[in-house]
Amino acid sequence: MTLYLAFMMKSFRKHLAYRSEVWLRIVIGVIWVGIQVAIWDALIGSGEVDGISLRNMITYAILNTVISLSLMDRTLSEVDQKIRSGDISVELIKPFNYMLTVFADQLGRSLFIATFTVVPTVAVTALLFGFQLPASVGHFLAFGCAMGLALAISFATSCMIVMFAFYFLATFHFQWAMGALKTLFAGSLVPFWFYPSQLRAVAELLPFQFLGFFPAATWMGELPDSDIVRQLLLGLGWAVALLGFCAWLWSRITWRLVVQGG
Amino acid sequence: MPVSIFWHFVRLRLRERLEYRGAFLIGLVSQGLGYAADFTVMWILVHRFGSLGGWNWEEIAFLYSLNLMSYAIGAAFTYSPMTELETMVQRGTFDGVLIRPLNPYASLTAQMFNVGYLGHILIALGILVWSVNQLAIDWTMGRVVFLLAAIAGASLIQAAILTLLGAWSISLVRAQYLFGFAGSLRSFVTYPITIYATAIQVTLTVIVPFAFVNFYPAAVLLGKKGQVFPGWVGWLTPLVGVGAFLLAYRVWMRGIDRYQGAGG
Repeated sequence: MTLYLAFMMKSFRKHLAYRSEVWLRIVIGVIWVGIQVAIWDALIGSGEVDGISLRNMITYAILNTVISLSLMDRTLSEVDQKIRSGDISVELIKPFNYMLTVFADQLGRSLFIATFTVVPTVAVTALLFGFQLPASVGHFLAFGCAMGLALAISFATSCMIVMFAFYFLATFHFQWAMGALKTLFAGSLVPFWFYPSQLRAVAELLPFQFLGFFPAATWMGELPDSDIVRQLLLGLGWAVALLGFCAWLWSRITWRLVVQGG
Repeated sequence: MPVSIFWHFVRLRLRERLEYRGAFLIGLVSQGLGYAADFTVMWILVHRFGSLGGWNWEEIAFLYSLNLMSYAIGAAFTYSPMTELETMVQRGTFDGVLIRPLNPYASLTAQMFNVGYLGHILIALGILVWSVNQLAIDWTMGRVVFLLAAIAGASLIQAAILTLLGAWSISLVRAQYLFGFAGSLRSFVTYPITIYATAIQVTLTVIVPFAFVNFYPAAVLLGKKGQVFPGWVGWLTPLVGVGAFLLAYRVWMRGIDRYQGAGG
């Protein structure tokens, strides 16, 4: 456990070295929020649609922008490269679980982003456009749980893609396909309450809602308490299932691994 | 560099890539899925509210197709060479391009032509044809010629911006993240620029002319008003494209002149 904690802290410190990237991420985050504010201003203006005001949508846009930033979905490129180059074999003979070190590394990155990107981005956009605090302490705690699920699910989905690379030797297509599912079913840009009802029903069963819509709507107190509890349980089920599938896939892969060349 | 050699290089590259037909087709399908999802979310948004900034769904789709089409054409030639320039400089392979008796810009863009963007072009063409059919534009010969010239100009603008970033990565060694930044600026023009504040409209017109990629030509053809600049600037799209491209090309070549190698 202390070993993986050390990996996490190492990753945190590693990211401290890239200061210009931090600035750029904040600027991109603010621009992205600005675009969304302009869109919702054009669509809603000073009125309300379905009980949602411009002020609500600004908060929704800020939350979704920072949630996307902190997800653990950057595992891909590094592991993918190691699989292609065969360096993965070196990782496998080390006396610890490689996937757990990747997890610790990603968690360190998310922690870094939360401190040095999410906080300043929220501060700047809150000053520029305004931002609503969580609906209540209870909602804030539920948001925390939802973010835990978001991290677990984003890690599991990106791990799955990486592991497909062992079978198909390319992850590019799966990344696009997974990206498509996220675009449609995470609700990061358009919240589910503006979705056609059948599509919303589908989206509320899938795990992608935890990567955008669900944590944001929970923070804002836009969901009834019973729905929050039910969806949190559903998310827990998805997280366990997806992580379990990854663990199973990983154990199979390490048995059948043949490194090219070498 | 003679044009025939340029196209010969592109053809060789195409044949090389299309050897892997399965991978190419799967790539096409997965990209198609990505854009379909993008497009569906926009449809949900515009459909729910009826219109966005006074533009209806067909008009937004037209805007979207012009952006995607010009990006795909411009990026097919410039994306790979400009993003990989940094690695080429670090590895020293860039020096090999410079000692050929050919224009380095032309030979790089031809040789590293990215076939993957053909999928984008097909998708954009599909949306363009569909939206043009829905829209009540009086298609005179002049307007058809203008649309084609505008797409060419828009592609040159997209290529110019990628080229400028490439020029940057010759002198600045870590410029990779600038491409992400340009991408987020480009997402402004997914929507009609009239929904943005004056300062942003001016920036997108004068400093980073992304608005010429789709908004101005579309506004001219659809007779849209409300932007900060007069509507007729849309007719200038082909000229802006040529101008922006020549400027970026000059900057890139000057970067090459000052290039000293990464040591070693």
